[in-house]
Amino acid sequence: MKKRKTAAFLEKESMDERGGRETSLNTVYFVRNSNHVIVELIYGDPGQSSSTVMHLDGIELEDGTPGDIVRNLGPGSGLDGKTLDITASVTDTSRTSNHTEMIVRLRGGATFREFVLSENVTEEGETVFYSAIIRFHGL
Amino acid sequence: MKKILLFTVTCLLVAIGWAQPENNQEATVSLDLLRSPSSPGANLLGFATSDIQKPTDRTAFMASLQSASSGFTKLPGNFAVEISPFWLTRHKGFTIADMDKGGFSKIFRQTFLLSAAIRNADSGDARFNPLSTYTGFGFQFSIRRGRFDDKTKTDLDSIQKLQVLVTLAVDSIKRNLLKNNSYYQGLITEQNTIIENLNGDAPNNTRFKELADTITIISRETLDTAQNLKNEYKASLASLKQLAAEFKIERIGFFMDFAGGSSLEFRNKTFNNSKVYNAGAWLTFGTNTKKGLSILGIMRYLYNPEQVFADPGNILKKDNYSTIDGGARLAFSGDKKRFLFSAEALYRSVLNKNTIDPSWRLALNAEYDIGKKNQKLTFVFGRNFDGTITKDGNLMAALNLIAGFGSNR
Repeated sequence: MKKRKTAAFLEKESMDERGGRETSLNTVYFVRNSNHVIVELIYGDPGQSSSTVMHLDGIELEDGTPGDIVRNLGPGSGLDGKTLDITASVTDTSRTSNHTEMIVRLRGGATFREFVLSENVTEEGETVFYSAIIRFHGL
Repeated sequence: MKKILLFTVTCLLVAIGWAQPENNQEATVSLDLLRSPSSPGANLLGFATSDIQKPTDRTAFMASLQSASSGFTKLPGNFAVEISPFWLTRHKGFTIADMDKGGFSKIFRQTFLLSAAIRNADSGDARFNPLSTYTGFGFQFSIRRGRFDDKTKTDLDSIQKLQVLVTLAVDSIKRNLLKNNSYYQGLITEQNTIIENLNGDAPNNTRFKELADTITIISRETLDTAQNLKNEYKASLASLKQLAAEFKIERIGFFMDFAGGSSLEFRNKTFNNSKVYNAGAWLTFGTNTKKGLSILGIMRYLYNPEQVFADPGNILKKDNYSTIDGGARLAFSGDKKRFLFSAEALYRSVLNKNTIDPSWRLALNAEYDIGKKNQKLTFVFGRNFDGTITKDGNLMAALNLIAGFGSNR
């Protein structure tokens, strides 16, 4: 319980607390030995087009995949000390919204985490780039 | 040439005069009149589309509620909201890549909308009783929808290829910048050391927070720098922007949408003294084909509508009545768009009153481009609801040869 509280505290401390719009995330995520860690990426607004590039410690997992992503990264024991590096783009293809966002969800670790990154485009058809770097640590 | 022009103009004027119904309102009705409202629950209570709040996340939804209820201290007075439950809970499957997928469950969750409204009329409101409170609830969803047409697929494919190209470029630059940034790497190492030395204890949060803040700032700046090094992919990004700005979804194939809603009147603003104020259900279906055939059908049921379609003269007194209206439109344009044909039929009736008989309207249009500029052969036929244009109830038939109102230049 103590470790779980500490992990939650550290994860919160490593988050950006700026508020408002943000396109970049760099945080730690605490994992347990046997639990599989799932990363989920959800893009918006409805009707926007997305592309995801994802590397786990330099190994390519996604190479520009369009649409939302759900990826099982394996058990926590294999992730301790590794870094998940995500670069994504959201292009404004929706004619009803100029809002873009990337939601990063992490589950299977000490706590469930959700990070919402977002940015509005000022002109139709513009592209917004997002970056999420997640550093895994064992409990 | 002058004789042909004179003949054509005469024919046209006769046809227009012959086809002009006495009731202008009936002359202008079309299938669009039967279309389902955008937010049934709110529209049944007379809210304009622009007055309906459409939050796209939970925070915005709660903010709307808070604002309308004066900080959750009382029921909202006049408030209308439309939400997509699956988007509000951030389920995946809403990007453009998912919008061409079939299967009822996918289509349902992407298109399902709920609308709700509450209205307290003021004393000057002619439609609603100021002594009552009204609530409305509605829903809509697609049962089937058409697939992207070839152009939409091609454009989307081009957009996604360019997007992959620029994302890979930015990713490569970003990772290289961070890898070679010794200051950043030093901060990561220091933060890792703090974590490793914790042994389950609370950290020295001041230094940990400083490190986290600086790491975040460097990450943000690195992403900005990677984007600004555009030379490698500047042309691709420009093409992507142009394609995406012009992108428009066009669908072909069968579609079917359903919408419904109902409103309650709480008399004397009392919870246990209520009745159904009005209600409605709409079924819209049709198809578009590559060959240029388009079919649209609409069925509409209304309980206590504000305006009865079958009663333009307002003969019916406000009462508990139900109406059912239907319509269909068929349009065909040949491959080379030289032949155009369209037909539209409308049916309207009052279900539980014998005062007004059911009636129907039919309009047929055919047009053939005979090849020369501005020269078209047109044929129009119609039958109006009440048959007042001709004595026997049949209405108009005209064949026009339009031989060029412009020049041959």
